Amino acid sequence: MSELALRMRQWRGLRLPRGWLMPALAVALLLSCLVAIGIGPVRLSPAEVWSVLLSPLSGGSVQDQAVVWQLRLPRLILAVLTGSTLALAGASLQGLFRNPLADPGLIGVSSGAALAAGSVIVLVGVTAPVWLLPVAAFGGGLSAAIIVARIAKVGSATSVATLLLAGVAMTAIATAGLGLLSFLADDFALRSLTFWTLGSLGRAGWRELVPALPMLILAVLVMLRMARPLNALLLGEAEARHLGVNVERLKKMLLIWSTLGVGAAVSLTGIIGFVGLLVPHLIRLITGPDHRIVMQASACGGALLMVWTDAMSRTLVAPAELPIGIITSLIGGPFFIWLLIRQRQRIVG
Amino acid sequence: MFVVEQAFIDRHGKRVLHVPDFVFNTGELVAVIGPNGAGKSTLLQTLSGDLVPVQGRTALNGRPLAEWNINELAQRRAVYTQSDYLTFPFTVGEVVMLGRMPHQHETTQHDVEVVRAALRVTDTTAFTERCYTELSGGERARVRLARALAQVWPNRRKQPHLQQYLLLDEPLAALDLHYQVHMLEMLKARVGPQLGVLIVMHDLGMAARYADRVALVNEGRLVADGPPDIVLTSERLSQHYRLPMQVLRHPELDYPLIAAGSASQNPPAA
Amino acid sequence: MPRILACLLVLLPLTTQAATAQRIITLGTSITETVFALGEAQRLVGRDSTSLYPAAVFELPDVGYLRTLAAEGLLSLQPDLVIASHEAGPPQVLEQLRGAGVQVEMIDTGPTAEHALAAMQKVGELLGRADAGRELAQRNREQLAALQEQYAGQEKRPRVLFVLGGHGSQPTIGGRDTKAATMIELAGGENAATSFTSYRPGSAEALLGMQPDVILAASHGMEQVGGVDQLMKDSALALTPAGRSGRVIVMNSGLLLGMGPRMGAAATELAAQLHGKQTAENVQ
Repeated sequence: MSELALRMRQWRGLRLPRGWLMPALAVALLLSCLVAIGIGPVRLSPAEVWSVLLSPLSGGSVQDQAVVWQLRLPRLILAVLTGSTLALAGASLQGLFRNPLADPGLIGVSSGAALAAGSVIVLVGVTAPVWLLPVAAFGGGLSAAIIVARIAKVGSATSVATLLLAGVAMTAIATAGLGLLSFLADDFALRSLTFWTLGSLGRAGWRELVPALPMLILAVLVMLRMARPLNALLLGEAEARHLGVNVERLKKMLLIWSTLGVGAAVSLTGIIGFVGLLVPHLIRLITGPDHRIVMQASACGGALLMVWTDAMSRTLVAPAELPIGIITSLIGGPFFIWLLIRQRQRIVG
Repeated sequence: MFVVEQAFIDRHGKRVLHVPDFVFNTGELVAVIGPNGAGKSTLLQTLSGDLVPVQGRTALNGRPLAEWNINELAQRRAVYTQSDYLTFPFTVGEVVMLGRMPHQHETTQHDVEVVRAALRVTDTTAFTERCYTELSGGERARVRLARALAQVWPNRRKQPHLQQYLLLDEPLAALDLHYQVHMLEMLKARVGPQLGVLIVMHDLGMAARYADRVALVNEGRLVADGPPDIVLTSERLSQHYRLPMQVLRHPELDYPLIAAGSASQNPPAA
Repeated sequence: MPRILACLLVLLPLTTQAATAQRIITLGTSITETVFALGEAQRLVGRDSTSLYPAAVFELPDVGYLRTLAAEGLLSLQPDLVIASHEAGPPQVLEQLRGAGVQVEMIDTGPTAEHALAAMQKVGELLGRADAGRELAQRNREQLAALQEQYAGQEKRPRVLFVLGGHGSQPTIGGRDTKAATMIELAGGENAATSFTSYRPGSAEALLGMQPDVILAASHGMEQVGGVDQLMKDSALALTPAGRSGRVIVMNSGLLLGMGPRMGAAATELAAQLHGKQTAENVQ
């Protein structure tokens, strides 16, 4: 087996999954989680964090208990899962649209969620029960994606080009809706709305996280399983079918699970930009476009990115908190431009 | 063995092809010819299972195509299409390896050897590490052919009796003369008890020279089907191509040569 | 499980804890101001970003906008008591604070004078200074009563339009159920914008239709639009009775809309400017 692996690596044309990348990412993620749980405005030494974690009932003060168990741990889990989900959804949709610039926003999930959340913030306001916002956001994201998918459905097949256009139209409608809401909104609602669209992991505790956990985990697992047929889909739909891929089922699964995953993530965190675009793109630069490695590595990379940007969000302007969407876009935007320029130079030169 | 019986194919509610009776088996190289828009590709898509007849029957090994498990079907027949959507920077080696998908869960040594062999017979080994999207149209066509070949490459150890088929839609269109001959001779050599090859092509001379059988399609109908010497007659070709045509024989190499007259000349009365 | 335990530990000494709390975070400008007015500022360890008065608040850490709080940021200041306006949130964060053993007290800081007076008393109670809080509220109540007495019988109250700021051509104005409306009424005026609630942008025609006699402008908003003159130039306000007669009052936003311990003084000052000099002297 090792001889085989060696031979494959020698023949670089096949560029088989780079053996070192996944273990490296997994170890980096694990270490990051261990370090990040010790980072925050409340100063806790690693020893204190560990004594609290290892003895959930007796270690540390009540406040230390609460900080570690009620604030940092659910946040960390949320960071890992939403990061994985957003990056995987990005990779999935980029494969589905055969376009490396596709993004979960393209099928209307994010804008639908934002419109629904905005309606709750502005029209219901402070009297809304706590659960209403995430539920509405999830429902809004799902409905928008369903409408978009329905529009794109011709007979039993889904037209990818129509899907893209319908997504653009849906986003335009939702943006107009949000504009209308912001016009109706008073100052307070407006600021809440703005902050919601910038994203934060700080709103979700165990009570919000637990109902969404199965959906996020399932979305990650299902999307990871789509890697092989996604490679074939890049050749074209008919070509993928000739290679034994059930294309309609694949498209349906990709749409459903990226929507459910992103919907669940957005409902808990608000909109967090650039993760779905940046992470798979970056991974592809390292590994090439083979989804078997791109998907796994994106899941890890997305989680890694979110764990660290959330740590920054907690600490940069402490005791206040910077919305995480600002950080991801502020880091992601220039980085992405740099990648594009580098890529362009390589093509020209 | 592919069997098509009294099949009617519709597209957007319009009848586009009628195939009274058509059989395609291993051990033969079948050329599908006919004017533009005649229904050649439609015939190929009917065999590949992409188009389902509204009436009639299409079957492989006695089982209707629609009832086949899509992966088992993919293990038995590969399709070369003219469309070329790939924009992601896969290497040529990776593209050809995709042809092994129906057979693998994890890449095995056999797969690597098959890919290598498929690259060799299409003369694309030199591109192995290059990015597919950087190649010229002709080079890409050969790589796609290599992918189709890799998909139905025989596995003598595991499936020694599996019968496989290649359905190729104008694989020669982008190739220069050297590679047209080279590829056709390579395909011809591979035809045997376990492989059948069906090629949609325009070059009647090539069809006459290499095909075991020629199927002529015109105006949505399979109008002739048989050995080249019988199908390719001056009268039939003149009628269906609406050009005066003459079938000659090469004085030294002894294969049919087909000469077309000018379009302004009146075709001989049918 | 840890949360349940934490709650149990905290619930027992809850009632006595507040009065002796020594590390307090206030969320909401009127609440912060009240703590300062009661002379208890040394017990504060943090404030929200809307608390901008008195100047000494800037020495306190800013925990961010009161609607988008972060639990761990507040906890890092190790508070034993958080006094929050009902506008503070998100609710999950306040819950997380309670889970961490911090006493969180919510005070309704609604837009009426009654809300404001009750809030002063409540802050006093929470600080263990109930008498001082009552006294502060009483002083304000008396100032308001004096104004009420003076302007109650007045036949024609001046129509006042409050301008918060916003875009020059469509300035944001104060409707019903706003602190601005309350202050205008307390000062013996009549709010000109009654067709809507809260603060909304007003179009040129809507502004003309309101027929304000006086324009009341918030100072920080005027900085945004480039001064009162610029505002008048950019909008239809110049064509209203107030614009034609040049009756524009600019008042410090914090003073006017804070509705904290300076509410009575603010209303008095507004009344003085609204009703001209001689009445102002009478009030003094």
